[in-house]
Amino acid sequence: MSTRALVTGLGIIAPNGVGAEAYWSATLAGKSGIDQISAFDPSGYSTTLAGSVEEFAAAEFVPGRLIVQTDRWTQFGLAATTMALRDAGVEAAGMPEYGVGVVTASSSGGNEFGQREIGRLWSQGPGAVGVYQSIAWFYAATTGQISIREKARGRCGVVVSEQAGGLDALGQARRVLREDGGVVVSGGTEAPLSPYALVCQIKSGRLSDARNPDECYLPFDRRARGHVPGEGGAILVVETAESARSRAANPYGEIAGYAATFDPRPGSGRPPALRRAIVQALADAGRAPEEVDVVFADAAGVPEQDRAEAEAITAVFGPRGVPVTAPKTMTGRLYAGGSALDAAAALLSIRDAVIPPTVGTAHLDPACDIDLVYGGPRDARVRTALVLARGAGGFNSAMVLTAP
Amino acid sequence: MTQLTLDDLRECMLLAVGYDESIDLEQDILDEPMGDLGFDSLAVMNVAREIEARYPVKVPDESLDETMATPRRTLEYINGLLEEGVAA
Repeated sequence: MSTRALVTGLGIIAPNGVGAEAYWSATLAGKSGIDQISAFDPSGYSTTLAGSVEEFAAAEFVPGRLIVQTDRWTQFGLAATTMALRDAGVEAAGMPEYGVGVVTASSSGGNEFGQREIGRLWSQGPGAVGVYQSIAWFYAATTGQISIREKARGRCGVVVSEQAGGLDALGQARRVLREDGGVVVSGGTEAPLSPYALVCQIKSGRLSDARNPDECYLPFDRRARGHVPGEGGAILVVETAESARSRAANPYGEIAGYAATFDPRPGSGRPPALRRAIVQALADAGRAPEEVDVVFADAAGVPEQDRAEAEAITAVFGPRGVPVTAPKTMTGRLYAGGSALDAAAALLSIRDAVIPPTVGTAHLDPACDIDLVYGGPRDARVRTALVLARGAGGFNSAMVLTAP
Repeated sequence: MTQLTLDDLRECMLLAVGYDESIDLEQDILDEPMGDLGFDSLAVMNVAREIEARYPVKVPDESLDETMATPRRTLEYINGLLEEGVAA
């Protein structure tokens, strides 16, 4: 159990920046990627705003044959993996045959691809459905395609737990490293902005119907009215300290603690389990609450969920006891990609000694007694960051990331 | 009558793999196994769909590993189907 899991490479695809540095400079500047959906005419839907990745050209990262075979969400994963491996300096060819594993998260699979092929089925019949529908929609497609392309033949897997998925994948990556050693490509991406995918989310009742991008996603604000979706995510290269040392890699930080809990069934009267995830992740990391320098919040943007999260944070850290932030206010919620992106942002916070801002939120809900970082970034020595994520349906995950 | 030529087949094959840069069909491909040309079983099925989209023919998915084992076999097989279609 003593194996340390270090993050040595980051690949980021986000609505406000493609590439880790583009994302990070936009995020520190408070530049949002949320705007009117442009991929189709959203005027007939109750939600018309989202965080779209406009700058992504799949062909820059993904060979033509894989573009034919894959959904946009997998193309994000392949591209972010290329970036992350390059950042880490990992050459798959130079690694032992089974030395690199892949564990990613997905919460909705290949939406756009599936919608297109189902459209063909209904309009033209079964013969018009492309053969790659058989593999492109499936949650495990991104892990599989990354594994094939990068010749990463170590242990592979996929986690499906909505917004908690990115952290759960990284937690599983750490477990794989403890058992197998080597390197794991991990994190998550999501592309939930096809009309079909949007309709599925609207049904949840948690989406904002605001028409103004500056007011559509305001977690912990008195005006909170839901969230908007976004696409993209992050892939992280995670490896054992031994592996990192042997390659003379320069780690961003360590996955020092992780815990996942599940909420009691609605109406049971028992409290939500997010607090327990925080406590267990801190215990797993061997850190006290006062050692935590920043919390990256789940930031649901739904008043009662925001209050539940604020209560869990203040229960552990005390009222206004720790800086809390939600840079996802600049991207929308990316589901499986969202918590992976938050983990990447936390590591960049550690690197640059700065906490990125929450944008939009300006009038803190009095029931949320937290020290929210908004209005601009905050300089702070960050040695320990806590990332929280809740997935619809009861998933809670907490991850402690520490300076290398 | 309609016939599938080698150039037509090349086009269907390239469409099926999104004009992937790693696929080179300009050499003498007639007797190369599809797998060696970079076409796995799903890619070959996709070639069959591209042919169906352009020619009045229905290509059964069964035994594609034999009927479309190489470009030469594919041409013989598809042109045979096209001829049968005309005869019927």
